[in-house]
Amino acid sequence: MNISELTFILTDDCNFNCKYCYKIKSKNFLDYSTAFDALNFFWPYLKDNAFISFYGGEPLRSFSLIKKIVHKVENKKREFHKEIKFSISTNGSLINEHVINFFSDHKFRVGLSFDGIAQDQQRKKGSFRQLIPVIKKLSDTPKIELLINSVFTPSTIQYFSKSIELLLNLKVPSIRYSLSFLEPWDEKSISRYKDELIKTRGVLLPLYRRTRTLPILNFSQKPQISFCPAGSDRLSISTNGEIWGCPLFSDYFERTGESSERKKYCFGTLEEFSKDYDQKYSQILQNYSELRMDHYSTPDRDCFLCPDIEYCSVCPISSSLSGSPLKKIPSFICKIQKIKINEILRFFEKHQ
Amino acid sequence: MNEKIKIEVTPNLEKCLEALKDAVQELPPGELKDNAEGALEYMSRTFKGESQPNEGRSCFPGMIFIPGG
Repeated sequence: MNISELTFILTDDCNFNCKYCYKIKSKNFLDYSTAFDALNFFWPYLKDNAFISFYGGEPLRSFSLIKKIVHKVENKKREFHKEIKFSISTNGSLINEHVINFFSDHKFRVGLSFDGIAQDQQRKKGSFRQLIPVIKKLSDTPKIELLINSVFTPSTIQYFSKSIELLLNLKVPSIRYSLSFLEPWDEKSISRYKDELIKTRGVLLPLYRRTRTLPILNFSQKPQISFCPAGSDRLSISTNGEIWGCPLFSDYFERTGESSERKKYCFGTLEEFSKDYDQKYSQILQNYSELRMDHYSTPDRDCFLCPDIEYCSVCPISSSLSGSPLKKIPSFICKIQKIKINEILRFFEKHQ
Repeated sequence: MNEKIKIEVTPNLEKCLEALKDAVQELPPGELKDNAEGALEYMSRTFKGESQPNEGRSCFPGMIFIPGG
């Protein structure tokens, strides 16, 4: 094992009720002793510059445990000379001065979910006004690396380009967008997405020519062949102490309840895993290794036959949240990918 | 995991690929032609030892969010 990111799912609870959230909420919290046992067990396998990440639900509901884990990691870092970094994915609603100082002291990468103009409609009424000052404060804190992720759905895609412009105007250093596939995209929404991408390209090109920077991560690199790293260099611990390749897998199987598939991707509880980790790890990793673009298919063809495979990138869980089995990509996602690839490649042609 | 396997092919296999590429050009536009071109492109990349899809880019560490296109 050679781990780049170890994620603690601190709770399955959240104070938001976002319309596109796939998570089955519950009052489960990761307990202190499981978190510490996991940290001790996995510590030797963490790369020198690995991330310790906090995820939820809303992980700041468990801020006291975050502080304890960070304190423990800081001590271990000094003892073992590792440059471990911290990250958190949060809705931002529980961030106050004290939390910002803590993030700054420990140089956190803060991933804030914020949907721009669609925020109140999709996430929580009133949260747009609440979060704007938080975003400004986080952006202005030099030791915090802020990344904002905005999610769009068929019913909010018309706000896409304006939302991106808003975040650019707020001087957010890193912006990423995702599309929710929980509900299918019809032809009209897909066409709207294309129009919005073209508008965004129109905003980004002059910005790039002027500043030579590109804060939108989706546009900052040419589309490239991709694979799912879950399990190979990422592991996560769920609130019940189970080990998974990525937090999205535990959420997905919690949602679908598919027991035979679940067994293929769950490494077992920490206690089970630690007894026989060499064999268990390679056995389960084999199943994660199958999750690569050339093993996927759409209703029309095997993906490896597609001329765009060299540029295509589909998260297997994201696709399956639409109700499709793992490795089977619905047609609407394929269409969306082709539009994205085409528009981003055009962007690269124009700015070079 | 992610070990790069370079396949060595004989000159005749390279010639087979070129002959098939020429033949495919004669096919009428449609699904059959698209799939045949995709298959030949895949073989061509494999012969050249270019990246296979389990290499390339993965999602960045420290950035887990609701995924999507």
